[in-house]
Amino acid sequence: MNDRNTLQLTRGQIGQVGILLGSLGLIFAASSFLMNGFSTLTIVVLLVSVIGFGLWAVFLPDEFRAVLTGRQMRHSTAAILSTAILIGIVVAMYIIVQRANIVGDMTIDERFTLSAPSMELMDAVQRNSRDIQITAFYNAQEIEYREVDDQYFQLFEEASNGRLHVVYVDPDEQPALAAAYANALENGIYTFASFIEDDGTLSNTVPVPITGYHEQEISQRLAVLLAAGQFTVYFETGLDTLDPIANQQQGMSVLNNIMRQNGLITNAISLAELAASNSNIPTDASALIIAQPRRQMTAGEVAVLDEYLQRGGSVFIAADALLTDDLFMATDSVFNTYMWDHYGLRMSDMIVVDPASSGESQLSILSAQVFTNNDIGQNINIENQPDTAVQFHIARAIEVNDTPPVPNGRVIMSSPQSWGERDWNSLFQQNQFTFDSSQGDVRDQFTTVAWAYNEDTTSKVVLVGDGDFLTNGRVQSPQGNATLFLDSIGWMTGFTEKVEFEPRSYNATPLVFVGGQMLDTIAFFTIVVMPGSLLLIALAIWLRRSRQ
Amino acid sequence: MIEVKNLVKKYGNFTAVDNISFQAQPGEIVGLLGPNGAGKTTTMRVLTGYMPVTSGSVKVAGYDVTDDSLEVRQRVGYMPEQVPLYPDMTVEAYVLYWARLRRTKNPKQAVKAVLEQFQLLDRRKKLVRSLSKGLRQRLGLAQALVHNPPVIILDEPTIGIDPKQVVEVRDIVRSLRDNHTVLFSSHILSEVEQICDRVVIINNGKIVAEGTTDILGEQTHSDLALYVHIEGDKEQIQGLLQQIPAVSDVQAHESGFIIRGNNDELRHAVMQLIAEQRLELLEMRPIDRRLEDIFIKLVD
Amino acid sequence: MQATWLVFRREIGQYLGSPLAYLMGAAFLLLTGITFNNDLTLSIGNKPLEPALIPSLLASIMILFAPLLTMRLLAEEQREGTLELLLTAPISDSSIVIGKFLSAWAYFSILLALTLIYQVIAVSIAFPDISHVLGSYLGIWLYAGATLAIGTLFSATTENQILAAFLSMITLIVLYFGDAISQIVSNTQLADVMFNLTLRGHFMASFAIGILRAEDLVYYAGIIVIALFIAIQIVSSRRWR
Repeated sequence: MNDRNTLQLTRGQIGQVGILLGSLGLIFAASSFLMNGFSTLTIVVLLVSVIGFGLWAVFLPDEFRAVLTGRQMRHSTAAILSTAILIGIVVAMYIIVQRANIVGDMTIDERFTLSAPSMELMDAVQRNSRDIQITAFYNAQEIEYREVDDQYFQLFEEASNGRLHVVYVDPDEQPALAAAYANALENGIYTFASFIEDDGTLSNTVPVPITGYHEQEISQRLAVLLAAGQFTVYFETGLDTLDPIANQQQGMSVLNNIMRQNGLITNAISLAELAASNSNIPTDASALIIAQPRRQMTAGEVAVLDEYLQRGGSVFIAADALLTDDLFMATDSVFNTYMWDHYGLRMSDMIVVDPASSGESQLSILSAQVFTNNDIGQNINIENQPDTAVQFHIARAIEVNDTPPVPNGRVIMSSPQSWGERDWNSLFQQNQFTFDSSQGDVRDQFTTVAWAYNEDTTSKVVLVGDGDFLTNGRVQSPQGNATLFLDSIGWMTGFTEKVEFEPRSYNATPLVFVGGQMLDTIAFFTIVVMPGSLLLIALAIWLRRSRQ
Repeated sequence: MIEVKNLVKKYGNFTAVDNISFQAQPGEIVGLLGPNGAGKTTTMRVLTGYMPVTSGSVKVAGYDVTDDSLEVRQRVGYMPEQVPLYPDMTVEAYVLYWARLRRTKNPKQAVKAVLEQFQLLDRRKKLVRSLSKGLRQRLGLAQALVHNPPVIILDEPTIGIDPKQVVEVRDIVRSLRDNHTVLFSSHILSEVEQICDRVVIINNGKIVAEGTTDILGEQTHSDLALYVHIEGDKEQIQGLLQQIPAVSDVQAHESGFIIRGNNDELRHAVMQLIAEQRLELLEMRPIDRRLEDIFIKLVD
Repeated sequence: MQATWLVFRREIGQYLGSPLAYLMGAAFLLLTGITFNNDLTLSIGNKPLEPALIPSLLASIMILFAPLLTMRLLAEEQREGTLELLLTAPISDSSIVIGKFLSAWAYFSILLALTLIYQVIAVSIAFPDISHVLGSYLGIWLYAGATLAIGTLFSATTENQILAAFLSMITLIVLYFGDAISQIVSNTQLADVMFNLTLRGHFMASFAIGILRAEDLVYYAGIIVIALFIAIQIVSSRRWR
């Protein structure tokens, strides 16, 4: 009787280990198959299962036959088999329920429910001709984060009616696939959204930085993706303008890259060539950028631009102050007159000097006053965020016609202390500038950025009195410089409207404000009174017992 | 009340009980006698519904232990060899727990009655852990009886308690005769003799003898055995002892003798001898006849 | 049913009548209390209170706590021999196991309910995301049920309480950190399957962040059902072993 308890493996025990192994393996293989399809894991587990059942058949042949022929089996086998069947049922139920993806959102601000704008966006996704793929990179160590993100992805997947697919990639397993995203991955961006082309390739990939506001961030980037390819922005390159491709300090590749990452198509174009060949700006042009041109525009070039604006085109003009006889938008130039006549905006012959500016010099002027009654000024000079200011270097003042032919307005003005310097020679050559009313200098608050909008033709104009702020060297210092440009492009192309996302109002649970005394009371109650009373009860019971 | 037919119980390849059959009538106290490992406990566990049979049929109170296990269990009171107790419960709560689990009607009254019966009523608020060994034994009996079962199964109830308590337990068991069928296991023959109407003797899982205690007594030489140690010359004393008419057998044992003979007269005759011969009695005690002896006899 | 209730009642009485259980409860409250006050101090003027704070803490504590709470359930009955009486009482084996499990769960629920006092305090001084809080409490309650069921299972395997606690602790550690094993192999597929098998995986990625997934409910209920079923089989096996 005693040898039942010793650790001696009998044939029966090996057989029972076999049946346990076999049935568990089978369940595991089935669930692995259901979850991931046929994988190495499925096959390995299936093999284990077969070996297990094999052991059973070899070591307990009688019983194996008994089960196959439906005769009675011993208690232990019945127990193991019924357990295995129960586990199988539970696993099957689990997988069914997991598939059904029944989720309840418990958070007050409904973080796990798509907001109305997101739902609208997902309608657009359903209407879109191409399916969307979200590619997200997680290695084996990051499964836990994946599970959290997956909650949000599933919301979008579900709302897309099968048009949005989420694909998880392990960068360690598929380094080749990850290599294409290496830059972004290094910067901590691990999620990307792309269109799936008919041949299965991905296009228009936009990065989706996730920082914790999953829904808003994913929606935002999906909107960008949807807008991708719809807008083409042309860089004027025939006026000795800034080179959009050049990476050096004087280039503006940073802005070009940002636009491309946001799904805008950018191209180069030369007004001079168009004028020479008597052709027009392409019809797909959503906006034209004329950045810091170094010569005047010819009448032919103005005609090409005029034709474009007449059919609803938009232009962003950065007219810098340069010491040259052939100054772009000189006061009496053809184009300056054209702008005044059509949009009520023109460049003056004054350089803005702002003593109130805290910049490098009084010529580096910060955005002292920003008008937020337009789309461009919204994100500039945000309170307590000094980086959202705009800084110009040797900027020209813009004249705004207050009884204009089309609606127009100011975006940025210098401070009331500023004055306009007319003596460009001494400013550029000797770096000397003093207020001298006899020279024609005027003390005033000057406009440095202005807009105009022709409601009939829908053409839009943004005029900036500086070009340096667009260069790679300055465009992100401060960050407001880039914002000014990108928001202008956004307004002109209509891209902003398309991708603008109402920041979701999180009922972020308010902060806690408690006085120190209250805190002490709470601490005393929760750390001393509550455990202490249980200790007292324990003591009382113990005392009562020991007295017996 | 108890009907065992061709009961076989195997543990794996080991046969603990090998094809035994016996019966117990209502109001009968049946002793199950055998040495350790004979299969007594196994048989009882089958009867209580604790273990299923390997083959054969067992009916208790008219129900089959395999088919109507729960019915059987409700009609059986069982006290295992090691009295199972919850040390942290009070006496009353302990008995009440078992009363309720066995679906006793009016459990509180039943508990009160049974505690009174076993003189535990004044200790009902005490924790079980504070009880003495004898009281624990009584408590074990109380839980077995609280639901007033027709069949009571007691596994070695007198083991490990002091002689006074043994007598007490034996009295209790005897008193159960009127209303219950009792199956009682022991490895002490005299105990079985005193208490039981019938005895079933098993060894190595098989029944070696069965019958009323009288019949078995004849079969197994039921005379009393005494150990006497008398000061003096051994041969002389042996001779003297053999001359007593009531003595049928004298054997040298340790420093004295074992004498057997007629139950009633033996002790008296020995004392008379000592008085007449002016001998000095150093020790005299009755000897429990070991079952092993009987088995040897029975097997022979 | 009635037998389950009787076993349950005896066991819960055992918990509530034993000084050790109150000592454990005191330690439990001390730990959660310190954590709560810590978060409160850190939150002042800084951030909202962490809604799933106590449940998340308990998720790891249960690895230790569940075995301690359940180790005696069946092991003690076996050592004292009372299991033999229970198995010869006119009750089913399952009612023994289920009654005992439920008592452990109920005892834990009482302790858990005591920690709700922190939430009452939180409500009185701030505006916590109370539905998120309650969701995470539901989660940890089920989570605890699963760990206690596993503890019950191992208590049935042996009459040695320490061994039972040790075995269930090992199992819970494996079930808690299971995905770490697959991380060593660095296979996402395996890690995914393992994560879906772990106790943590069904709490941290759902209840803790404020959602209620049907699959997690099925998971915990499944663990409870399977563990108890095996425990019942083991108890029944005393009959034919």
